[in-house]
Amino acid sequence: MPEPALRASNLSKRFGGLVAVDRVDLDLFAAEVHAVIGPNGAGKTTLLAMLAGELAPSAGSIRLGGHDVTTQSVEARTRSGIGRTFQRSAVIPRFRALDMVRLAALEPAGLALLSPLQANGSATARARTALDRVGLAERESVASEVLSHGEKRRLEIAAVLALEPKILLLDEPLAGLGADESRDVVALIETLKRDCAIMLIEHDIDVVFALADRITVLDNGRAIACGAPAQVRASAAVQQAYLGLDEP
Amino acid sequence: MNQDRIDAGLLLVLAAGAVLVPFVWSGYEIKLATTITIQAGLAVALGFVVGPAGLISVGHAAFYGLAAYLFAMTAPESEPANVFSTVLIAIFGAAAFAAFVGAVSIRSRGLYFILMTLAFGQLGYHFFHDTGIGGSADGAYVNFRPELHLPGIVISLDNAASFYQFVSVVVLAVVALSWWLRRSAFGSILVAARDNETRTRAFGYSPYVIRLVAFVISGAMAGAMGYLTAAQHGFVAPQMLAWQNSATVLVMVLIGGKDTTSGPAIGAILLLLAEEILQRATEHWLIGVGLIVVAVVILAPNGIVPYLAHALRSRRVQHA
Repeated sequence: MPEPALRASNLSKRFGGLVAVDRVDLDLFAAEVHAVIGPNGAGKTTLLAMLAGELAPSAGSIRLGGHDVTTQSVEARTRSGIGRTFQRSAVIPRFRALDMVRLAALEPAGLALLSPLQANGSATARARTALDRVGLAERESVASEVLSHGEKRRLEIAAVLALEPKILLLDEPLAGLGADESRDVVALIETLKRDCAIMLIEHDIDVVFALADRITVLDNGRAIACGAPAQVRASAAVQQAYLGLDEP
Repeated sequence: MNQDRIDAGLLLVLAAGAVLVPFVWSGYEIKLATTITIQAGLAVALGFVVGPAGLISVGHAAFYGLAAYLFAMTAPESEPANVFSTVLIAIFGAAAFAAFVGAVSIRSRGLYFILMTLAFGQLGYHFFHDTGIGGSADGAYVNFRPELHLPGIVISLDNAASFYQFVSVVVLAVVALSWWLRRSAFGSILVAARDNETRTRAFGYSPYVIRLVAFVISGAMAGAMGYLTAAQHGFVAPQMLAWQNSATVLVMVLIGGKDTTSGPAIGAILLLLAEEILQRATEHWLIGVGLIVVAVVILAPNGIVPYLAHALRSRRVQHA
């Protein structure tokens, strides 16, 4: 078995008396889509927030490429190779699409910070490549806040791609998208797994079972199943807790 | 017309005006122009954190006043000080205090940040007002204007016109620095952190660090203006650090337009000229100044320069 790109061990998060995530183990491997599913309130977004560094775990550890990053800040983890998208579109108002992706692509060292973003050739090239990859090349000059919802989601993915992450955390990337836009984003995710390990939180079960190489099912903060889609689909615990089917 | 172009055009007009002042004005007017230029520089310094960083500081007078005191305390009693040695002490002192205030305050946001800077500003005021340091409530004197020691030549700044020219050069440097930083990647990150902090962190930037750097640069620029004020008047007093001074400069920033470099300078010029004219006309001049501020806020809530840019853009669209 290869070394996981990211390993969460015994990860827990408590908010007072509420245990949002309870001793969850999760491995993300390169070139693999690992979906995390579960009913609302199961702890999926809390788990993702801990992996991204936005929430400090109450217990457990997170290792990225063998290095412990449990106490690292969001920005340090980003620079170490963890990129994420958000459940709600989070573009930067008044930034053109290209400028927002340039900001992500910028290597903030030395004089690069002191010259205009637009004058940075390497950041611009990386940003244009990322925009092209998500199909937004022709929309690069449009202010990010006036893009359609689907375009905003793709812009977010482009910005994360410009970071060249080793780990990509996607939080409901299809939320609010129409059928055509969903198809585009699903096709994009399929191509992205060549370059990085992907953790996908998604409510569209058909998409999850079509895209995921492995699935972890959370219920009340606990991982009740983990394995290949067929294994998870066959799990009685999952059928009872999540798919709403009674035990035979 | 693009707001950036209007901003650049107005800065060029202001710079040209600054160059022309000694040729058309003398005596009291040139002293008034010196005061206005320094206050415009202070407004630009504050505008740099209020605008792109979104940090509404009501403690910047403390950096301005501290630098003035540092100059008064390090200037020789019986001969003119060397500008380069004394200005560095004043600016680094202001920057160091700004670093301390910023490091403690910047984790707070909104109203709490305002209160923190207010508290630190008043702490600075009472430090000089209530202790024996710097002459307590009576303030301290600077007996001589500093001299500019250049290789092979010493330039006296005793003459009002030469001092004005020196002030103009320093203020133009502050304006140029602010203009450049606002347009740099550093400025873009500041704006991004202001408008979407979560996303900016997810891009790998620390909003705390980037805001702190901006706050220190702004504090240092405010310190340079405090040095110039002490040199101009030959006197420093605790009132220089008081929150009322910070609030007045904040008003200049807001009425001119916090999201532009020229806006705060124009706000300072308009407010101080209005004060000057109204003071000559009526003893109730403060009421007049208040009415002008209210009128500007109602008519141009984003400030005069953004209002101008919007008006010119609308006119262009109508003519198209």
